[in-house]
Amino acid sequence: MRSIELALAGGWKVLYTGILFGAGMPIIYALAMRALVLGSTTGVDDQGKPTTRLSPAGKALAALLLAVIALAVILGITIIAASGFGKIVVFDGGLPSITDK
Amino acid sequence: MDAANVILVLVICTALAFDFTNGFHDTANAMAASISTGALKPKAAVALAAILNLAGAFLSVEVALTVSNAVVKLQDKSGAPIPATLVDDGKKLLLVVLCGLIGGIVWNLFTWLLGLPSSSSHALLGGLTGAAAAGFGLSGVKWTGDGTKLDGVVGKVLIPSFISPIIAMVVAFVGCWVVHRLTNAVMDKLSERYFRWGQIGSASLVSLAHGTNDAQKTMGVMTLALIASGHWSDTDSVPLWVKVSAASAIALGTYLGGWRIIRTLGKGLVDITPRQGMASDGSSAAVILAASHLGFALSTTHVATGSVLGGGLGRGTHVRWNTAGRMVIAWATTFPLAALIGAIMWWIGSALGYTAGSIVVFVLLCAMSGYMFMRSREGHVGAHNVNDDWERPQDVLDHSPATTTTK
Repeated sequence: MRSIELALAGGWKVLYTGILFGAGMPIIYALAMRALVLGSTTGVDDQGKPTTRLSPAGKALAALLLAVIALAVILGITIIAASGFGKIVVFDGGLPSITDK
Repeated sequence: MDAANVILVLVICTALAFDFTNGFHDTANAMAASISTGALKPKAAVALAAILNLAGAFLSVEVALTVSNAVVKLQDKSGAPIPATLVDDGKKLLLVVLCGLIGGIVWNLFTWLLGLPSSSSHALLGGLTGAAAAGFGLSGVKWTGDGTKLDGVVGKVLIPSFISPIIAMVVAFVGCWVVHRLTNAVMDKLSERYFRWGQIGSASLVSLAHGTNDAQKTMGVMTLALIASGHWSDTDSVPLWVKVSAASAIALGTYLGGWRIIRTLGKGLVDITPRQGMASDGSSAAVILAASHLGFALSTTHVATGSVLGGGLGRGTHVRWNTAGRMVIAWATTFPLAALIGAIMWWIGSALGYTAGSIVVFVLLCAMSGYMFMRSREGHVGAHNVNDDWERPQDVLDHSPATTTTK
């Protein structure tokens, strides 16, 4: 029974961290894609195919959101690399730093 | 060469063979979704996964010498074999490790033949536990932890195999559902291919994490064998050649690609679209990293499968529950059946004496592997037909060119 309690406690933490990053990052990516087409205009090219012209503001907002994802990816690689060197990434007041395990 | 060295050489070869099967069995976890959606060409996907596994294996300098300590009492905390196991100049421990590895390999190959993603780590732990229980008695098996942390067969194998796919499924479901709600209205302006980059990125993280975790396990087993036979004494580092050979074996296995499993995970459970694939791979990467960060043991395979299912449910697509059911059966049986094979190998090997016994079990391994490889050639699955429609398996069985490839 003790094992089940521990598993639920650990599993719960994995679940909410998973939702924060594992669902959060794809959602931010989707927001970036939505931002990309903000204010875009559609037209037709010479061959009669539909085209989409993106707006600079939409592109800038998308880039900003993608930068957030890039930071999360860097954090992910840091966690992998740190654990390989016997270190762990801790979050003091929200900012990550690397310490010994 | 004396008896101990003969067994040692067989253990090293078998450990590398296990590492190789670990690689190709798990390629699917990172790459099945990307291959299925066409985000990456099959060969490019396995090449990327192989490179990242190799990088991951070298990235980690921490020694995973105590990998078997989770389930069986063969080593002390430092990783050195406990004195009770060092019978007959370490030959008994070497034979136990050899038989355990064989249990892991045979199970990996059998589930690969069936195209089922099962956990390579559970196969390894199962094999070692079975062989150790047969060799040193059931008292050597650690069933549960001491109450302070999750440990033992229950805490490190049984419970995580129930919980981790559910966690991954929930995360992927939420991600995929919201991503679709956010983007459905603008999909006339966006191509699905915009989402492939997100998918490739998260799949790459899964591969890297796999390399850091799984290659270490084989390195740990090889080093344990070297310590048992008196060829190594440092429990804080592994010999360089062990590191290089294990990293290469897992990368080579990954590159070869377990196409049968990639096909099941990428095509057999649900049909995967790029948006959905991005949500599934994002879930796998985050859950694996969060769990390893929080010290919660879970299997990459269970997470990847849960994520693919969750993504499919989030998009509201048809799920082939009979395939999912077969996977669950494979998960539930991995540990006990790998253990049984490990134990049978021990009984055969120990009855014949260390040297002859180890050679015989090794030959048995080669025979069983050869047989399963031959069986796999009937209905061959490879890069050329991995993405064929699932509902028409006769295309695969007939060796005929694919007529209904899904783009």
